[in-house]
Amino acid sequence: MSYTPPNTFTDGTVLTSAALEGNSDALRVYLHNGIATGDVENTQWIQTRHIQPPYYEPYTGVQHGVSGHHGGQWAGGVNIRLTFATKYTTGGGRDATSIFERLSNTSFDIEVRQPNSIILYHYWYEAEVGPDYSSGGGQVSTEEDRLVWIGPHLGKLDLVASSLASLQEAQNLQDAWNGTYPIGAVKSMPYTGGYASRDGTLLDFRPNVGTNTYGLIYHSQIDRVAVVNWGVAIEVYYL
Amino acid sequence: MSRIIRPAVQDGESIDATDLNTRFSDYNQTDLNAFNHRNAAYDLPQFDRPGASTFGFIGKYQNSITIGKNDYKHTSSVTVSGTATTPPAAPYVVGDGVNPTVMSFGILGQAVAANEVLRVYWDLSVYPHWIGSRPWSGYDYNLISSGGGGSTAVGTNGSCWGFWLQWDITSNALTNFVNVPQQGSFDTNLTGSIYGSPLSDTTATSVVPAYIDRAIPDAGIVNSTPVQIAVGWRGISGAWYYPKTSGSQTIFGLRLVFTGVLHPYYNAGTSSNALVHDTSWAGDARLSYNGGKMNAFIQRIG
Repeated sequence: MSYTPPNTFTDGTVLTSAALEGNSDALRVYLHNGIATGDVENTQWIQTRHIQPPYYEPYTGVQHGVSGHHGGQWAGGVNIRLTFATKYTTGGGRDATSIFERLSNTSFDIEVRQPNSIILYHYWYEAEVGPDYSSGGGQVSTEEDRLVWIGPHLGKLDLVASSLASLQEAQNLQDAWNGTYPIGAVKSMPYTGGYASRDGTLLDFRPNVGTNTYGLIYHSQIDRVAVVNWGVAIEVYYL
Repeated sequence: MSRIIRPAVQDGESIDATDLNTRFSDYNQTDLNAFNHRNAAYDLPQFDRPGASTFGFIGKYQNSITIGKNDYKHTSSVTVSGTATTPPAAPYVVGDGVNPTVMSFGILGQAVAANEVLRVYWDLSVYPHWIGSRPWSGYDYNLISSGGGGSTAVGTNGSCWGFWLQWDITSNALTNFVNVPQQGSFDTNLTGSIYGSPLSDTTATSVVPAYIDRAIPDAGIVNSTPVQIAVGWRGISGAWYYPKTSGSQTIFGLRLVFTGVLHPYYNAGTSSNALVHDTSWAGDARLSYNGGKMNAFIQRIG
């Protein structure tokens, strides 16, 4: 309801500071959080200048507009910005482990300003998976387990389990090295899936406002996985 | 009047109760408007949104489910054989090994109205392989010169498994799944004993290679025995969009299905390209899969 002074003054009575301050305090409360629908003019008066313009975050490449966030980052071509996955941070290639790490450069911190928002996190990447033929020290001993999993994650790494179904794997089908021509991997990369191209989308529903992290994570049982070209993009819609 | 225009009390002036009361009651406003708001005072999410109270501004509906058998280390997988019968058997439905994993849109379903779009994204971990010794044949060879008038048969690497979406637009009983628009089941008799779908009916299809066969050429000829390599475990994905320009379509469910082995084919009768069943070695083909996700989002576009 509209502002009504709690104290009314009359001539001939003592003007107390408490009564005067009481009216001022009530006005402060009203202006802070008390303006009701009936206090606002009931015709269309809002102008374009009253609406917040979008802002652009240059580092993450994300724009926040009136309906949510949009933006992305990518690497490739002349702007190549390699990122890597490796077994040395996710269990040393041991099949029994389930350790995950973030894939550098691929995360967004998004401030969701509206309850009940929908987030679409898109990703694609091309990875050079291996070659690797290490089998000692508890590492995987067969090509069947020489895998890397890369997928989207939400929030902290200890919440990754909720995203495990979204992991997409690539395999390094390596079982020996050639000592004669052609020197190198017995099974050349282009034919064995060693050059992996993957893409996907994580859909997330956020019932509350707050800051959330979306990015790519990996679990590798291969020594070196070079993510040569990649792109990540975020769509946030205030439902 | 949303602006309070009253001169301040000056030094030496007296003030009475009426004037003092008026200086407070001035704030009793019923027509606050443009004069009372700074530039950029409002972010659009603060405004009322059309439609329901929770959803309705741009996004209308969302759903996300786990499909397949959720075991990312492949401790236990679902494995099926290729379709070797003619006409081809019904496609496999992606499931957890016991039951299909189906996305339900609720008891009343969800309507995709005019100026709305349904966006669907899915991914799945798969492992195409085979049994026996280099079983592929039929369409699956190119003959490369081995010198001296002879040739070496090298696989085309064109064989694949095809995955696509089906929806139920009948009821929430989810017993009447059909292909989504512009999508075939690869069971159309194109000519003779060849069954498949023209590429114009593969809008919702994603494919994954069924095998890898390679040979190393030397001075323009291949005189070495080709080497067969498994495709290996890999993640595959698909995206499908259903924009509605007029009318409305209620959807009750979505599911992912697949079949194989398919191979590229040129249909001379219709002068069109197609993906058709290659039954000559499909009985030896296998596809294992584990888990993935299916995501659906209905959004206003106008």
